[in-house]
Amino acid sequence: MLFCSSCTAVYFNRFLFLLFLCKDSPSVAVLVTCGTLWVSASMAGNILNRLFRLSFPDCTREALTFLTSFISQDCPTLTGVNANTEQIIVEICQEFVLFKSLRGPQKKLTSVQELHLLDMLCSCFSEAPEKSKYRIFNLMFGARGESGVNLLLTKLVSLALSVRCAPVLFCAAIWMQERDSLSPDVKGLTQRLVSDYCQLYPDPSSVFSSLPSICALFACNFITSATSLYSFAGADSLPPLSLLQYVSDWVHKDNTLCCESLRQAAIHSAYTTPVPGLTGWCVRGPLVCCQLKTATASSTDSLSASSSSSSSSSSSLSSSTISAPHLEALLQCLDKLHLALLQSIAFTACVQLSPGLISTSDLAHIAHTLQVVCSPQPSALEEQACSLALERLAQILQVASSTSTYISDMSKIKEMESLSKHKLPHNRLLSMVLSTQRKLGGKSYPKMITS
Amino acid sequence: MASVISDLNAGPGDIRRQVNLFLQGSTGSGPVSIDALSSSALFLLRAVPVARHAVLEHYAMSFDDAINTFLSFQDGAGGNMKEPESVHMSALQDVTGVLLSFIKSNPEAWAPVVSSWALSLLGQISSKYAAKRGIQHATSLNEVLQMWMACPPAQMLIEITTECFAAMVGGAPDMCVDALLEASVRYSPHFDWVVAHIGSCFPRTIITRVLNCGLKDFCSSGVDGQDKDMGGGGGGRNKVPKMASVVGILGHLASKHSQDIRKALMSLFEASVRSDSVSNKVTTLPFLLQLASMSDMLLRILTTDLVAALKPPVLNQLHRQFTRWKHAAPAEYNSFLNLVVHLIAKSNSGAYDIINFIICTAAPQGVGQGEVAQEEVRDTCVEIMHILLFELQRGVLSRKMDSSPTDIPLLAGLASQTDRLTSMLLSSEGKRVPWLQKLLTFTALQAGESCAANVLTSILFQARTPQQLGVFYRLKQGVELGMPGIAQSALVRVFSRLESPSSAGPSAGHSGASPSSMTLTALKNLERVVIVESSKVKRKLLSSSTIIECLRTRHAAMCDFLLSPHPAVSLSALRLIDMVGFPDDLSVTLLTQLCGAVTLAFFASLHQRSQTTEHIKSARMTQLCMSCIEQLSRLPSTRSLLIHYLVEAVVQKEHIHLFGGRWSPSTFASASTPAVASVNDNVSLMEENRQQSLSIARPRFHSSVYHGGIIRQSVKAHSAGKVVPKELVSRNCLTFIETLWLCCRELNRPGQVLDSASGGSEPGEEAMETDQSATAKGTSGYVISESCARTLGCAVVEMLTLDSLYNDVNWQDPDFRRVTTERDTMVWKRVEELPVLLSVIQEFSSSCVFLYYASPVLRSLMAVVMNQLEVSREKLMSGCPKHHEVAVKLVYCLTKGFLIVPPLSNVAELFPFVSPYEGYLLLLTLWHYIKDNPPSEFESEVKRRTCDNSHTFVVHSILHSNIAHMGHLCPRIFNM
Repeated sequence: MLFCSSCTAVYFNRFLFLLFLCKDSPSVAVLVTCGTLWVSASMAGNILNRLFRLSFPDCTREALTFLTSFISQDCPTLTGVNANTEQIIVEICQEFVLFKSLRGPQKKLTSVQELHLLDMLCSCFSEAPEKSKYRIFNLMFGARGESGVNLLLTKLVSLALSVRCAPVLFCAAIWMQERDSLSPDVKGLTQRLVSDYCQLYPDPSSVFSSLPSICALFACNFITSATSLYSFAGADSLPPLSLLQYVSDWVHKDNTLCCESLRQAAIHSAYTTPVPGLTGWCVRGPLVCCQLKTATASSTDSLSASSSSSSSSSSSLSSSTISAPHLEALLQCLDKLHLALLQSIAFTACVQLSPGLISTSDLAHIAHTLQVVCSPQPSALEEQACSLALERLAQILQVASSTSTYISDMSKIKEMESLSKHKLPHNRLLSMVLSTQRKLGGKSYPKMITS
Repeated sequence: MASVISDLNAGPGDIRRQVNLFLQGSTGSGPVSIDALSSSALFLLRAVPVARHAVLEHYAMSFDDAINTFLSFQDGAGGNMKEPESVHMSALQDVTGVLLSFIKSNPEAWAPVVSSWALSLLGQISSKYAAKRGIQHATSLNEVLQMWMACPPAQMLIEITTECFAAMVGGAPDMCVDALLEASVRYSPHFDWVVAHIGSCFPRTIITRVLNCGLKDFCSSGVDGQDKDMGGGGGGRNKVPKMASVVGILGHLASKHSQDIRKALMSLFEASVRSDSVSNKVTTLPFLLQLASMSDMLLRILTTDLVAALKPPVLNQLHRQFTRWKHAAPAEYNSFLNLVVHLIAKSNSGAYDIINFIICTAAPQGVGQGEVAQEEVRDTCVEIMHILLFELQRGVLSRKMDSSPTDIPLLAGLASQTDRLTSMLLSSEGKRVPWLQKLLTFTALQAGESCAANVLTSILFQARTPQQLGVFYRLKQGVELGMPGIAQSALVRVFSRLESPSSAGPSAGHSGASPSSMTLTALKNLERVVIVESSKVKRKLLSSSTIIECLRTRHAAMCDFLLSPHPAVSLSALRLIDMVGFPDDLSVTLLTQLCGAVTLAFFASLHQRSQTTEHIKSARMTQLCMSCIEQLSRLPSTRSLLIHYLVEAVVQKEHIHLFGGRWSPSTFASASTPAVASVNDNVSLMEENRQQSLSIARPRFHSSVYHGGIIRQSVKAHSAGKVVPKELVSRNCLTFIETLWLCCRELNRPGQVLDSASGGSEPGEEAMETDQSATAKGTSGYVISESCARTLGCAVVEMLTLDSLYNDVNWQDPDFRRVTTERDTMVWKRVEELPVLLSVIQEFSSSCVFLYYASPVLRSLMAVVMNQLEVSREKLMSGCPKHHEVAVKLVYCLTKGFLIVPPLSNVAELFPFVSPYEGYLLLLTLWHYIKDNPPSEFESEVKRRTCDNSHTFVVHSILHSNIAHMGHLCPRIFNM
């Protein structure tokens, strides 16, 4: 509260957050409060002058060292710290790490220099004391709305993935959770990572497949973000095959992965779990794949003729040219994923984590999207796929409710029931599950928390 | 996953090490060998996605270095450069291989990344090293391309780029072409070779896409321009480079792929016609035109294809599409029109097609099938035409001002098509005429004298009506403003075309006209032109007509036409010659030629008159001939020539029958046409001699000569002579005599008594009556010139007598006629067969000079008559009608020529009443008188002669002895 008068709004928030960290996690609080650093204004001015005289790799290295040591020894309650100090820290960060110069011309790093910078950042985070890692990270990437900074973050995360720099990934995971995994910033990060690791290099990479073991929280948030990025609602929102393979592998191998973010919910007020998104994939997947398959089959003959002649409409056609083997592989992954997902939900029941991985409204939403995807006159194949989708929905609902890991809402249950009766093809399992749910009325589940 | 061996699965420590190694090497902060550096770079490229930018940047520098080394090595600067270069090269080959494999295995993801890198690198390199030696001096794009392709690193880059395009062309063509265009704009013109190379690898796609990109750009900037009127300048500034690069790229591709470009342009146009989107409709055509305005090559394509595609239905469709736009933006519409006009003026190759198209649309002619262009479309075309003509006029006239010719391609293009334009002009009517006229005028002015002359010539050759010929005057007038001497050169052209019958004009082929009819048309047109010109001269509108002046130098050609087998042609030529007249300085040969030709034409006209029913036409021709002869005879040298020609021709076998004569070989074999006779009869001299030796050579006397003719020259199958009506014969004779008179006359000198030559004309010649009186009036001031009389006399004598042995002018003793019996008989026969000559003698006998020279003939005739009368047993002299008639005529002639004087001149009155012997006596008296008073050339001397009594004694005694029935004649004879 001491800083209120002098700090800018951003830094006020940042320090509030630090305080919040102190309050919630005893270990961080200890780290923050024990070290003290007294920096006089003149000293700060000196370091700035010195840095300005250095050229690129050296100035950044110096700056990082300075920042690390400063933040590591920082004691927020120290009386000698004035507004100037904060400003200098921020300025050093802007000038020599992010290269967003507040004064003078913008300095543009070459790609090689940028790689050097990323390398230095990685080492910096690896070497920094545990307690100050996120503070440094937040200082650099905490500000919102700067695309250049986000891009740098993306590159940093990408490099961290390659060199398996867990600290960076952990910070990024917290950043993702803080930003909400469904926010555009995070989606941008996810998309670039997917393009780096799944599209540019589609071959299976040990880096990505071992991600949960390096940083489970990052993997969890990454999945959440990826499921919202690729909604699997049609031809233009299919997830890349390799991404689906990675995700199904991850969930299959580590049933706790899906509740990683739920664990953090104890610390962070906001949380999102990958379960609703994954459920969406598993439910919509078979139907969408089936439709695409028939579309591909029907359009192959007409396509071969039209692709050469028409140039303007090729963009819409090109997305539907997904080969049948590719769709088969997707379906296989989805099968695996569904099983893994059910196991994950069941596992969550064992560890008794509150409040829930999935809510009725999520399921109702999925049912709605299913209705949109579902065509009015389905073919035999499509009917089959549709019943598979509805059964999966019913299974997840049943497992979630029986393990009491979901947030129930009577009105949504009713909504789903009417939807399944009137709009969707009949499915015996789903109607049975739904009717039991309605009869129970949520009473038999003690852990029901309405949000 | 563990077993997959890939760089992606490298351990984190490895990656770290490699990253450090790479950073040290590329920043030069640590001792890293090139080999190690490049291997670590390759590793990073394969293992660390995020490092790809850095690695590519590093390789960009390597490529740059390699090219630099290569170029300086080429310059001869490096002797031992090979070592590092090969290291470089292997590294570059490695990375090229890796990138190519990336592109191949995962085109969607890698191609955009790599292509943008390769394109920008190529751009940088090409502009950076553009100033290097070698490249600097390369002028054409092809050379630059060769230059770069010889450089291995550049070749690798191009290979990578091409692969990228190949990968992207299927999926996202817009994106790659956009990138290409952008690079092209940024690094132009050094980047052109890249575009050219890539374009030639994917011509179809690149062309279509480039066009589409340009169109999209044009659309958006056009819409911007519409939205903010003031922002047009800014939009234009953005628009131009992109357009320029589009044009540049298409220009590079044009040499090899012009067909593709053509197709692409046309399909763009067709798509716009069919499309539903408003902006596409309205902008495509302006876009195409804008493109065309920036490149001649595209203009060429558009002019040929677009014009062919603009059929009335399409035009109407376009009209519907553009109406709203036109009303919405009148200013743009105007500039659009101006652009169209500008383009038309710039187009060269399809010039005629364009003009044809515009004119046909603006003023449709004939019954068009199918849809016809709407009223407003036509109005627009009319407007375009007007603006175009105005612009052309300005261009042509401004050239006049500063004498530096402004190049107007349209006119240059039209210059080669003037023939078609001319035919179009001649076949057109209404609004078209002034347009085409102006166009032709401008074309002629621009293209120079030969073209102008060509235009005028072809009009002269093609015009068939006076209206069409009117075009000639107007064009001439227009062109003369710029080229005063055009009429002359046009006529030179006309005659050169006329004189070469094989190339009677390229239009002869397509109009299907025979050369002679072409010639005829041209001559007739020339005739009309000359009529107009001369009337102008008469009305003092012109001081002198250049055309007429020029025609005067062309008599040689005209002469040839006079002899044309087609009567119409020769008639025209004659008319022209007549109207043009003869200058004084014609050469003798030409004059001779002309005289011959005119004479021939004269006789041909007479022939024609006897054969055809078109009397008026042939009469006209005869008259023209006479007029020509009259004009020609003004020159002293030609007079005698003409007289000779005429007289010689009149005794020709071919013409004789026209004048009531007969042709018999016996009389003419030795005289006028010996060669013909010998050829016809196959008489060889040797055969003749052999015959002579076998038989006794009998002297030719009475019995052998009189009746049998020459032995073995019996009467052949007498040429079934074309029988000419008597009336016609007499008319022909009259015409001939009149013609001769025209040749011979000269102005009367004061103090001389004249005697009308035509006084003794025979009655009953209604057809010639008017002419006759006209000539009579005209001749009132004329007399026969002495020299002509001399010539004519000699000619007549030459024609009629066998030899000149006894052609003494003086009359010998009457008994001397026994000696000359044979030749006298011959003369008689000839005169009998050529009655026209007798008429000639009769007509010209008023000239004593003529009579002086013709006296041998008269004497021969007199001798024959006297011989006959002396032995005749008839009761009256009129019993021998032929001789009586000749005697009367003889007396008449002698009287007229003052060879005999009254009262001897009146003895003819007695002839009907006297016996043959008395007639003989009278003639003998006349002979004696003439012997005593020989013929003289001097008229004054002749006129002073009188007759003394010794000569009238016979007359008196005959009168006395027959006083019973001749008494009443006494007073008349003796003037009592």
